[in-house]
Amino acid sequence: MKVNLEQQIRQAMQQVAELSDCQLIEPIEANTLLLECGLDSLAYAMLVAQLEEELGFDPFTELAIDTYPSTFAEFLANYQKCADIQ
Amino acid sequence: MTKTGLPTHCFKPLVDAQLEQVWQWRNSARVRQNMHNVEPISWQQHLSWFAGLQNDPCRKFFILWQNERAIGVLNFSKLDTPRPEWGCYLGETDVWPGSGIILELAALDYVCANPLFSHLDAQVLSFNMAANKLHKVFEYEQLMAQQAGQRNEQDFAILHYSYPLKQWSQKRDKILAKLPKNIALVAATIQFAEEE
Repeated sequence: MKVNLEQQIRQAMQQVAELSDCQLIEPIEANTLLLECGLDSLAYAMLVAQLEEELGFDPFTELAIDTYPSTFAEFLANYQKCADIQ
Repeated sequence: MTKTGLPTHCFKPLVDAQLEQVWQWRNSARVRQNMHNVEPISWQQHLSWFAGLQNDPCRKFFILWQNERAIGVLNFSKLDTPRPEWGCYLGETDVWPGSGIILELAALDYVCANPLFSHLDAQVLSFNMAANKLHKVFEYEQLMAQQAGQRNEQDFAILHYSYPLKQWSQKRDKILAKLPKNIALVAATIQFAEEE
């Protein structure tokens, strides 16, 4: 079964949290601030790198983004937008 | 796709136009929780602090501009000694992934460019896991842990770190190689503007 983008991002967040000794908050909701989700700055950068490996793209270096995401929903929207134009 | 959307980063001295924004950042709960002084700062206190800063050659206070938007703070003190001290925070939450690492990197690059400095020192509260972890990734030496009291009914300490700048010159590439590769790409473009 194909894993959808949101599930893939959530799984990657969990993996990066474990790798980088971070504790994700529960639950992560649409309006959860990325800076307060439990991932620190290094883990957040690692998450984007891991997703680039898995998905083949990185919205934050490939798209001209006016405002970077603040919440989980905005983060997901950036990936969806980038996936749509692949 | 090519990486045409990499953000730009420029550090510029704090000026009047950003004073209110920095005051709001500094008084946000997210920033205050990791400060030595958690009490909110009044506008008058903020103005007095800024007036003192402008007349103090031993301190520098930079704003980090990401894609020409102010997002955070990088400050130095004890610049009249061989061992300046630094601090930073992100004021905004909608920032490029890895922006905290850019602050960490820029602090070392900035002081390393001045041969009068031998070390870069830092203090981090023990419960600030993100900052403590980044200091360890960058291979700061932890000098001591100074018991500082209680916050939120938990004991905490002030962790004192130091970085021998000769080592930074030698280790910089190795440290960058440990980080996600986008950090190295962006690091090559970080700029400091000493005058606004």
